[in-house]
Amino acid sequence: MTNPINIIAVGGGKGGIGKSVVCTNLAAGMALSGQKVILMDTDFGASNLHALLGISNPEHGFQDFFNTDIIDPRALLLDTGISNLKFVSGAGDNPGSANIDSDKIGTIISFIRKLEADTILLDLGPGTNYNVIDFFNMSTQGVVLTTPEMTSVMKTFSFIRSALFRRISLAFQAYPEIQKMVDHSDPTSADIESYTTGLLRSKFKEQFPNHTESLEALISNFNPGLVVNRVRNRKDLMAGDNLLKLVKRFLEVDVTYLGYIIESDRVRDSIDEMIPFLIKDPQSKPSENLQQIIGALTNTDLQFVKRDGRIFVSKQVRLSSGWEA
Amino acid sequence: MNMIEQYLQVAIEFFKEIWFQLNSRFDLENTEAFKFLKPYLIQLQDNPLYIGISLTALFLVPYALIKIRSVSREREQKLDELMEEMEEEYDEDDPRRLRQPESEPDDEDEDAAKPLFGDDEDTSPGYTKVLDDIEGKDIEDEDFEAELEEFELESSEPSSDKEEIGDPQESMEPVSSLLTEDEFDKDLNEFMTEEPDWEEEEKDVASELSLDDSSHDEAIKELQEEGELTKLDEGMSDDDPFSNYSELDEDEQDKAIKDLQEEMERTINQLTQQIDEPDEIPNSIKDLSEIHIGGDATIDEGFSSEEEEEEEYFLETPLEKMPDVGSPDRQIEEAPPLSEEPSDTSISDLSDSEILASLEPELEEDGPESVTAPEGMPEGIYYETEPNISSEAFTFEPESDISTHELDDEPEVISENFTFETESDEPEVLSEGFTFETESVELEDIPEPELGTERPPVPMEPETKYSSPEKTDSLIDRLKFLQTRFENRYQPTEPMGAPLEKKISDYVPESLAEPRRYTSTPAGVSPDSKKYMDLLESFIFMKDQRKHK
Repeated sequence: MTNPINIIAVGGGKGGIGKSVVCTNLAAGMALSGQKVILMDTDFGASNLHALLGISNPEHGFQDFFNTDIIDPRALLLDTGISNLKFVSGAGDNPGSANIDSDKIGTIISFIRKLEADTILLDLGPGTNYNVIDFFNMSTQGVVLTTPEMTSVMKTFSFIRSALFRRISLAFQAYPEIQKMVDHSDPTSADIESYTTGLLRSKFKEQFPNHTESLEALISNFNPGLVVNRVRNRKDLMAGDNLLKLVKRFLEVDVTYLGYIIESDRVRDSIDEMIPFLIKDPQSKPSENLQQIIGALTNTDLQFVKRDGRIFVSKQVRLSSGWEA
Repeated sequence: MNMIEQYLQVAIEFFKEIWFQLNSRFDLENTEAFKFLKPYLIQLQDNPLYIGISLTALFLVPYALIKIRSVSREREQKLDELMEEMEEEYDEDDPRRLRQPESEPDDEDEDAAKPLFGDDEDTSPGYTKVLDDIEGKDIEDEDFEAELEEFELESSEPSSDKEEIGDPQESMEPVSSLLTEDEFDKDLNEFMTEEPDWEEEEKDVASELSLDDSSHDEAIKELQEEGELTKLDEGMSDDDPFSNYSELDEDEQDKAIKDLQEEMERTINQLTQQIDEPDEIPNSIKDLSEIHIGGDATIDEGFSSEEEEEEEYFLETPLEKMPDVGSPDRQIEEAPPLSEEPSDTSISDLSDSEILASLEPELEEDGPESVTAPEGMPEGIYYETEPNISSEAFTFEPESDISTHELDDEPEVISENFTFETESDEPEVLSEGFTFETESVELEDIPEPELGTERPPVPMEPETKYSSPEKTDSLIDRLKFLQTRFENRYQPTEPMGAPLEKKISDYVPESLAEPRRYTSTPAGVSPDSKKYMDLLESFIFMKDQRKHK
C-alpha cells in the first residue's frame, strides 16, 4: 500500500504577502529533509516561482499542461539543483491566462494528481477566484498565509470563506437552491443573506434539513493551516490570533496555527539572490521559523545546519507521545 | 473506580487543553527546554508512581513558593507601615520618602509589543539553556524579573538611554524592593538599632567628610579604603531615628552594626574584585559632553556605520535576544543592545582596559551569547559562504557539531563587525562615579561592541564565579541600599539624584538616540483590543450584514 500524495496548497487572499517565497522554502525544506517534492506554480498569468529558484528560460511551462504531445507528466518536471525537489513552472503564461476556464483547471488538477511524489506544493495566485480556490480545495492540506496588516487579515478571511463556500457549492452541485446560497458568482440570482456558516446552517435547516449533516461534515472537515508572515513583534502575532477568532466565529472552521515567519532582510536578500533562504542561511531566524512550520506540517522536528557550504539536516519524527495536543 | 477514572480522564483532558493553549501561544514544543524534558515526560507518563510524584511536586512547589512570597509580602507591608510612620518625622524633602513602594509599571501593553522569540530559541547555547531552566524554576524572582523587564522595555524605546540614566527618580529609587526579605529585615533591624540624635551627628560627619555631590560614591569608596567607614557606621548608629522601634539592647545593636559593616566590606571587596573598577574616576563630564553634543565627526561616522549594520538586521537581532533572558542578570545585560546603540559610541571612546575592567562580568556572559546567537554570528559566516545548491547533501549530523563550529568562527566575525571601535580616551561613561551603581553601569554599557575592539580576546573567568548570580545581585542590591541609606543620612537636604542628574543631562546627546524602524505600538488600533476586532468585522461585513451578530 502506497502512501497518498500529500498536496499542500499555499494561498492567501492578498498579493505580495510572501506566498511564493514561503512555498518555495517549504518545498526546499521538505526536499532536504528527504521527501520527494514537486513544487508547482499555479499562479497563472503572473508566475514567478522559477525566478525564485533561479531557473532561467524554463524548458516547460504553462502551455505544456495542454500539450497533448506530452504524455508523461514527468516530462514537465524541471530540475531545481536542490536534491529531491522538482519544479513545474507556470511560465509561458500570457495576459489573460489567469482566466482560463474551469475545464482547463481541471486538466491541470488531474495532471497534478498524476505526479509521483511524496509531497506536491502548490503556489497559488492571489485573490479568491475559483481558479485559485479550486487548487486550494484539491489539496490535502491547505495553508493560508497572512501578514499582520489588517487588510491582509481581511483578505485571508475572505479567502477561507470562499474556499469553504466553494467546497459546499461543489458538494451540492445538483441543488440550484443551495448553489444560490453558496455561490455568489452570479449576483443577480445569489442569495446574499448567507454569508456566514451560521446563516447558511439556519437556511439549510429551513429548506434542506436532510443535508444539514452533510453541511456540518463539510465544515468540520475543512481545516486549513495558518502561517503569519512578516511578523515583527508580539503584537503582530495577534493578527493571526484575530484571524483564528474571526474564522471560528463566522465560519465555525478550526484553522490550525502552523507558525510564523519574522520579517527579515535576509528573506529579501534570498529573493534577490534566487536562493531559498532556508538554504542560504538555514540558521537564521526566518529559517528556524520555517523549520517549525515544516515540522508542524510533516509532524517532524527538523534542524538544518549549514557547514562549509553544505546543509546538514537532523530530523526527528514525532511519535504519538500523548503529550501532543 | 469508574468515577476516579472519569475524573482522571477529565483532568488529563484539562491538562492537555492547557498544554495545547500554551503551546499554541508560546510554541513551547519547539523550545529547547521542552525538547530536553520530553523524554522524561514520556517516562513519567508510563509510570503512575512518577506521575504521582510529579503531580505532587507540581502542586507543592508552587504552593511553597506562594507561601514564601506571601510571608515576605506581609513583612514588606509591615516595613512599609513602619516607614510611613517614620516619614512623618522627616522633612518634606527627606529623600527617604522615596522609599515608598513604587507603583507597578503598566507594561501590559508594552509586553505585547515586546520582541518575539521568548519561546523558540532553538539554537540557544548550553549556558542559556541553564539560564532558561533557572528562569523556569525561579518563580520567586518574578517581581524582580518584572522590574528588570521594565528596564528592558524602557531600553527598547528610542530615548531609553536618556530615560534610564537621565531620570533622577529612577536614579534615586531605593533598591529596597530588590533585597531579599531576610537581608532586608536584617538591615532594617540594624538600621533601627541605631540611636537618635543622628541629624546633628550627621551634619558634623557630613561636613567632616565633605561628601561631594559628584563624587559621593568615590568618597564612600575612599572611606572604606581608609577604614573611615567604620567611623561612619558608628556615627550612624548614634543617630538612627529608627532606634525607637528597636527592641535590641546596646550590645546587640553594636554587634548588628559590626556585622553589617563586615558584610559591607566583604561585599565591596568582592565587587571590587569582580568589577575591577578603573582607578581613574571619571574626570570630565565636560569632555563627555563635548564629544557627544559637539557631534564629533569620527564618532558620528563610527556610529552611523554601525547603525547601518545594525539596521540591516535590526528586527532580527533584538527579537532573538529576548528569549535568551534566563535570569535577572541576563535581563539587565541584554536590555542595552536593544536600544542603547548610542552608548556604543561613547564606550568606543573608552580605553580597552577600562572597558574590559568594568565590563568583565558582562563580557563573560555576553561573550558566549554572541557566539551562539543565531543572528549575530552567522552573518559573517554565511554571507561569505556562497550557497552551493548543487552540492547540497542530505546528511544526518549530530547537533553538537553546530556549536563547536560556531564557537570556532566567532572571533573573526566579531572583529569584522566592530573594527571601527578602537582607541579612545574618554572613560566618562564608565567612570561616572557609580561606584556602587554596578547595575547602572552595566545598563549603560553594551558588551558586544567591546568584544570587537582590536585587542586580545577577553580571558574567560572560571564559571564558578558566576554560578550564583543571584548572590552577586543581592549583594549589589544590598550595597545600593546601604548607599541610599548613607546618602539619606548624611545629605538629608540634598536630593539624592542631583549628582546623577547633572552628569546625565550632559551625557545623553541627541545624536545618539537610536532610530527605530518600527514602533512598538501601531498608530492605529492595537490588534489585541476588542476595538480592532470590531473594526475588522466592520471592514469585512457590510452595513446591512449585521445578522451575524
